[in-house]
Amino acid sequence: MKDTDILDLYWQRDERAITETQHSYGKYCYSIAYHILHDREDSDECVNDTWLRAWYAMPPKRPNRLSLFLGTITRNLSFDKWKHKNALKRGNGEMEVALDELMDCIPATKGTEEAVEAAELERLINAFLHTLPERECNVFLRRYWYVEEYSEIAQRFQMNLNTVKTSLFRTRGKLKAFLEQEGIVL
Amino acid sequence: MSMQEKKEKAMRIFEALSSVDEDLLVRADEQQTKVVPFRHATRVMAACACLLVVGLVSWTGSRSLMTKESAASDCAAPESVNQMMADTTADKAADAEADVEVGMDEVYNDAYDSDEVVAEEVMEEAAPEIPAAGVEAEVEAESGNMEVWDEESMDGVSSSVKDDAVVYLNEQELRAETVLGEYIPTVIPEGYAFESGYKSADGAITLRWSMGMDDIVIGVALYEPSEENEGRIVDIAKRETYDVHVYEIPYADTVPAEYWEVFHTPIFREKDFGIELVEARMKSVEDLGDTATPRGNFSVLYEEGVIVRFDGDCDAESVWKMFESIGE
Repeated sequence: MKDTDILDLYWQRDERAITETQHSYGKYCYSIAYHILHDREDSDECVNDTWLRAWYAMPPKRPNRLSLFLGTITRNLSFDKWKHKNALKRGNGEMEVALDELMDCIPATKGTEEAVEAAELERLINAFLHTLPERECNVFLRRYWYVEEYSEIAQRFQMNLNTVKTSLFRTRGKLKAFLEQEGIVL
Repeated sequence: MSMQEKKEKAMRIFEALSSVDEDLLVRADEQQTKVVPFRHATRVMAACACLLVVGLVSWTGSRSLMTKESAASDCAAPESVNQMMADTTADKAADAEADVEVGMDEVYNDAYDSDEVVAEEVMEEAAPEIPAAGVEAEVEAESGNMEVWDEESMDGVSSSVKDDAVVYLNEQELRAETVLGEYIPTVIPEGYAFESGYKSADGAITLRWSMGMDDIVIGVALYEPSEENEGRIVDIAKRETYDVHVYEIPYADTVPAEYWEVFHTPIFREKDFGIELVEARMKSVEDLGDTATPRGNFSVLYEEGVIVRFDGDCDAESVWKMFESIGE
């Protein structure tokens, strides 16, 4: 079923919307959840919660790209679940490694400025990503949005593993410099 | 700063990424896993079978003609054919293994489908040791899976994956491509080495050269005169629609929304194209940890209806020389 038809079902409050969404995007959302959680039950739960959130969000929402709308919900729910289970301890898995890497992007603080608002940080990161060359941006998003492993990214973009690592290292450095330049305190 | 504090800040960045612009995510999704289609796997198998038959025929033929005295020395030939076959088989084993890795996304999909197999187990099974002797059966089995994946697994997930099957070719093979191969620049900037290239299902070809951390990507395709593409064709009199030097970075804050599409992916007509346009698109950006090589992107639409895309890091003059060499 086309996205527009699925969206119509949501707007008509027809429960088939959820079945059709699951049919079309179940695997996609599960993949996102599993990359973050590495746990089948938790991933299933997040995917199911995604359908529920989508049900309550549409209407009034009518996303341009249903896949990304659902994927973002799944990512947020999965990350919340991951935080709940892992934030206070050092765990295993790709999520932990990805976060360790993102520590490289933390700008140095010079004083006692207030931490940037979430919305402002989102805007700046978006602006930063738009400055990157296409491939570099894609690699960065596959790693830190989808939490994919280096090897998966290398396969996806037909790159050497080391090139992926170099690219990510370079981009993290750029992001740090960018945030510092903008005077951001996290 | 404690480790916990650092971790919390890293989590803020991770959370902020949730609001990334859709177009960036779509772009990151578009370059999907490259899967060698079944038909290409069968071509390789057919070629191997032909080699085997030729080898056997020549071997048995020579056996029937040769004398007992010369038999020992002539036996070297079939052995070398067998060796070649073994090498080919080993290569195929490696390819098959690589393809299994390529299919990680499908693995997750399969895990989602199956109630009996836990995802972790599936992942471990995804990269089995494939003995060289059983490669043909493995390739066949995998090709079978590929068909199932094509037909069923991708329903609605991303149709671009289905259409995005590509064939990896070397530079020489890509240059030999009818029509589009002729649009690959013959002059490549000094120091850049060919890294990879492929032909997409729609016939478009893409090549990548690299030198250290700098890349040059050239894509050649037949132009599709869609509304979107027409909107990307540059009126060179309107410098503000394509000149990267007019705006400050981040472009998200400085480039007017109405120029967004054309500014980020401009298409120059062949008749307009010149080094000044290349210079307008190449910009050196001081980034921590990056090279200072100018970077940029643009496409050139040739009168024959072929479009050549450039995306990479290089000085404008060298890029211009690349384009000058097209068709030479």
